[in-house]
Amino acid sequence: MVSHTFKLKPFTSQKGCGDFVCVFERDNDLLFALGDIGGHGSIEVGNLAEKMRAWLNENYQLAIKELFNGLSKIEGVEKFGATVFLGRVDTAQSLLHYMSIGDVKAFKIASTGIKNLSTQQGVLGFTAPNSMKEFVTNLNQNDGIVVTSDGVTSFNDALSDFSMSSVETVCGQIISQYAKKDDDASCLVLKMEGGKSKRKALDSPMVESGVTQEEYNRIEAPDSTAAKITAKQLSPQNSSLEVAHQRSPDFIALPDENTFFCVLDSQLAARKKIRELKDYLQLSDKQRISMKSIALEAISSLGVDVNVYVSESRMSITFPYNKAFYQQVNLVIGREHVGISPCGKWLVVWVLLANNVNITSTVFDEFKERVQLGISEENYAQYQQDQKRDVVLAQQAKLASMGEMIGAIAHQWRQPLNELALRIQTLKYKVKKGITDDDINSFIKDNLVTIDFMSKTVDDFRNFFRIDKSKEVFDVAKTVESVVVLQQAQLQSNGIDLVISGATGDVEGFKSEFQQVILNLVSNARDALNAKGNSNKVIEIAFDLNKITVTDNAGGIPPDVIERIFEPYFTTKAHGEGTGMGLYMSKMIINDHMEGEITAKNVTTVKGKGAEFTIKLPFYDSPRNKLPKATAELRV
Amino acid sequence: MQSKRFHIQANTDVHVLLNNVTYLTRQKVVDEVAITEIATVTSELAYNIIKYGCSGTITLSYSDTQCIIEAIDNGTGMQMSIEKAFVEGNSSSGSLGLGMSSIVRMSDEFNLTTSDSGTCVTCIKEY
Repeated sequence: MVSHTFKLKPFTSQKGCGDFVCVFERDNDLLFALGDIGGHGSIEVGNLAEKMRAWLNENYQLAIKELFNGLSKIEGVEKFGATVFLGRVDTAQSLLHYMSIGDVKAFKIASTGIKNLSTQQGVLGFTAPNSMKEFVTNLNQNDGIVVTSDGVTSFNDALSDFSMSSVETVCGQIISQYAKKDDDASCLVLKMEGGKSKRKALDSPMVESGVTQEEYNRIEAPDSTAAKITAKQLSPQNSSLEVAHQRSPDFIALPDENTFFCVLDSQLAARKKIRELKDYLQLSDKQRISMKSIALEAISSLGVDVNVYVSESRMSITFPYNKAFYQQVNLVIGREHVGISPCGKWLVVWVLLANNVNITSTVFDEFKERVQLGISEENYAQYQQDQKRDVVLAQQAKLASMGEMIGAIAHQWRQPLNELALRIQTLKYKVKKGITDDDINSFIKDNLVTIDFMSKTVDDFRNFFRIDKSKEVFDVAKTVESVVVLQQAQLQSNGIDLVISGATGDVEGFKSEFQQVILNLVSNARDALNAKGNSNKVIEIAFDLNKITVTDNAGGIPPDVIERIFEPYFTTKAHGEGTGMGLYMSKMIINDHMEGEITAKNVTTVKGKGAEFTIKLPFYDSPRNKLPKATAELRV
Repeated sequence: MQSKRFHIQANTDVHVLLNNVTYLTRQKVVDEVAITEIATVTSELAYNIIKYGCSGTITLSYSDTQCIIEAIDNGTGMQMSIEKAFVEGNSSSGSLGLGMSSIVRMSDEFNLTTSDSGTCVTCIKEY
């Protein structure tokens, strides 16, 4: 047995009420419908609601899908549009079959929790989805169904004692406390008084069962079965569809690439990002619904990503052209807002903004970044703080590597300074013995060579610490050599052999940052080798087709810390010897700035056990042809 | 939550699935009745994919208290009215048509979505 009740609160009068609710009961089933005609307070709207209710009264024995099609054909629906929830409770099987379109709130209240019942975007008679989905869910004893029109605000509090309350109490509370004052409001409540009882009822299933809310939502609304076009089912549009078929397409230039805003790559992203855009761009409800419906259908039916562009005066969405879809979109948004790119590959849909937007302002840039990241304003503030922190960390790491480099240069200069000192000291003995022109020339030449070498060291040092303003294409092998040449003397004094082998190509990035990475890896290897203290110390840098490996034979990284070595402030060195920033910054530089990947593992080679760091980078096969990444995205 | 997905395209895929489902369920469930019911629901859903959907996937997810069985096919949706599909004895495939109603009976939670691009059934079995 199903107990049920419903309430209506018209905005003005019953005759002008655009909401309707009806229930039809038979032996083994119960059909219920809740609808909301677009608009309120007019006799015309009230008459249409009455007409739909009367039609359902005559035809309630039909299947849900047939009822839906029938409602969409009623005269006037195409003028005002309607949102409708149609459900049939099979009391013998304890099942709810339902279909829903538009802004209807519908919940299933079960012992396992309150769940949203799925509804499809669009408006019956206007922007119907290309395909209608039918849903079935089971009902257990004391489970309830609550459906309201959008004239009711969020009413979750009213459902807290659902199992203990009568349907009249719940329905009355929702309408009296949550109905909007400026809209028609309707509410329908059903409760299974009999039917299958659950063997095990959990008070808090989300927690106790280990199923997260996200997993539950996925189960409730499985978008993976998104549907294809079923224009035939919505036959009121068929005649105009035929007209659209005969029309030649309108060609339109693609939006300026500079106005690219974001990608909508899932239904969730489309809903969320278009809602954000609606508020910022002050889109009307109609514009928002149209753009959202089209984007959602493109994503679900065509299985494509949708690109969003925002210029000063318009918002556009683009996605790959599809003839049937083009004709549908024509009907939804109007021919003057749809076009095909001259190459014929892209469908462009746009709306004009009521107020121009300054797309060069900082506020807009921040809004764009936030939407692209898909985070809330609060999280974005945190994100900005994190960004600032990363800048500070980068500065700290740079200072640390500067200390490293100064140490390396001190070693690098010690030898030539000794040479200069020796030559100067021997000069007076040569004068005493009788200096020749050759001696003087040799003195000048040798010292100039030494001074040149020292000068070059200073240049290399300066290059290392310059702040790159833009990315450049550079030769990886030469860049690595420019770093290690500065460390050579230091490594030699520590008794470490440095072996470089293989060949590689060019990459794009900030050269000095990349030098910093190599410096870090070689310095770390040096420190590990010195700490180990074995006699045969080797650092190998090997270039391969698309990777660089830096390997040492210092025994390897302890297994319990290898997972953490790229974390900030993580160091195994003694206090004051390591900042814990080197590898963290290296990872940021390679992964985030150069679209590459840096990993570490322990290896055993003929030289012994040690650590191996591998850097994979998107190399160029020639200066202009970047090798595509496997995950490369294609965009307009 | 531990999950395992099986692709279903032919009867041999169903055999592989059914061999696995009993083994996987026994890792979590002691009650032989529940094990049998989970295997039966999975079997019905898998054969439905082959009968109506041509191909699809079955995903089994286990937590400490329940098993979620999700069947997704890429068929053309339910041809007959959705209400009739759950009445015992009705079938559009020429078989007995006992499948869907028995699946509902053996599940603690049952949800289905169908459209002309496929059907997704999610059953939750508590244990």
